[in-house]
Amino acid sequence: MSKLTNSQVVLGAVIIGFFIASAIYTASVDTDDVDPTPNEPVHVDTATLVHATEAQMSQSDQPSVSAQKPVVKSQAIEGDPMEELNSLIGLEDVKAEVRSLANMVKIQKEREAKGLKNTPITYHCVFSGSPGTGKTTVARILARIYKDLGVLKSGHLVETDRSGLIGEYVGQTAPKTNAIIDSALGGVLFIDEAYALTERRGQDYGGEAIATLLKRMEDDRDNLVVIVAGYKDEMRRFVDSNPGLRSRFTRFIDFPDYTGEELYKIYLMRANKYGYKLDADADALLQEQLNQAVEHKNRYFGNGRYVRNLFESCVTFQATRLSKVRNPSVEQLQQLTIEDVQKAYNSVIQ
Amino acid sequence: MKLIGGMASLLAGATIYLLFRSKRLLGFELLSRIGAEPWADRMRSYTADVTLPDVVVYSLPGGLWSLGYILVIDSVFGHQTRSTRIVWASVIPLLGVGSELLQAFGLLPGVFDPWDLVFYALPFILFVTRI
Repeated sequence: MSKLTNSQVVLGAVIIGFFIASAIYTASVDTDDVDPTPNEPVHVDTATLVHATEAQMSQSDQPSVSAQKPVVKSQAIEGDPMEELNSLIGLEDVKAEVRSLANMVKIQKEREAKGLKNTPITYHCVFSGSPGTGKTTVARILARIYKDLGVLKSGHLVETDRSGLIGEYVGQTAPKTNAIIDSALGGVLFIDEAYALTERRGQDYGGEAIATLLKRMEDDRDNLVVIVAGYKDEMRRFVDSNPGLRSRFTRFIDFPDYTGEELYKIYLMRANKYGYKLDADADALLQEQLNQAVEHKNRYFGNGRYVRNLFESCVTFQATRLSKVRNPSVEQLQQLTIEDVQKAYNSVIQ
Repeated sequence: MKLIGGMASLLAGATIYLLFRSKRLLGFELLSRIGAEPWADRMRSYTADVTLPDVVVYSLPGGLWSLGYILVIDSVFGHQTRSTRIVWASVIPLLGVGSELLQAFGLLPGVFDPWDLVFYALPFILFVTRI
């Protein structure tokens, strides 16, 4: 036993101070951490149903992760999803993969109905590929296939990206992510450019969004399918960055870039849909330019979105040209000329 | 030895907070300020599959905090008289128990949980009975 010294008292006080401080820092900011519930309104738009091929043609040219989209909720597509799939231009390997997945699910369901054991099947997918290669369109089709096969109840698609999941301040991310997942229950949650969740950007809550997502994928495994999408290499890294992601996302479907010929077909489909025709010179130039665009593309090339922009630009230049013509004929109103295509191409590559 | 045990106990409690508690805790703001939040997020994602009983997540850290304090403070005052050691060791457990009781009577914000009371008090009771 020794006499209590001043330094011991000071040290004791410092220790007490430290423990009190640590208690303060383990206190909740809003004293409500026991049962965090979604408390932030999430904007969910109901998008009009679009035909698959139309969707394939109508994607905007958004090159990178900086592009932010609102949360878009689409109802399950109508009609036969397999027909929709088959009507897509190109994407032969993707179609084969989706058909094989659908067959697998179908047989598993039949085995289940006959009381046979099943191997575990992963419904979650990674769609890898460049922008505008039809990932969202195929996700909508797959959601409907899952619905038809009894995997999902409603088969709708909720499309979002990093901006739809991450909050601005501490404590906002989990409720925000949970709210979006809630809106996707019974359907497919499609997270575009999902790799951006693991990219560090200042005050970053990507890890919290992933943790929330993984937990809900487990809790709602019979009621939720998640499809994550983005560039191939980035998506590989994204999935490999976390054991929870790696164990759940084992099915990769790669969406190749469109060839020049496929882009040309997409263009013609769009022109036909809206009642436009290309004259022979314009047609030849369009094919040449699309081949050239594919040849000189970089990784941000918009594929289907590029074609949409090109078509819209052609229509704008045709309108400008025809504005100088008094009483244009039906033929003239339908015709896209080489001049329109050339100007459109120049404007799009700028 | 007591000091190491105390720090380990504190670390264990902090780990539970870090991995299993809501990010609305003030400590996460501190982590964010020092740039350690991405690291914490990564750690949390590794345990996203793990579900612990509520008593472990919400009450045990308080007990580990109380135990950690007793061990650390007793490493300083371990050579003093029994009563001196008890007085010093009682500060944090009493604060914990007191705050719980104040919560029970609605005098302090928070949710009263009898398990918290048990976990705050238990290390101190063990300490008193063993010295």
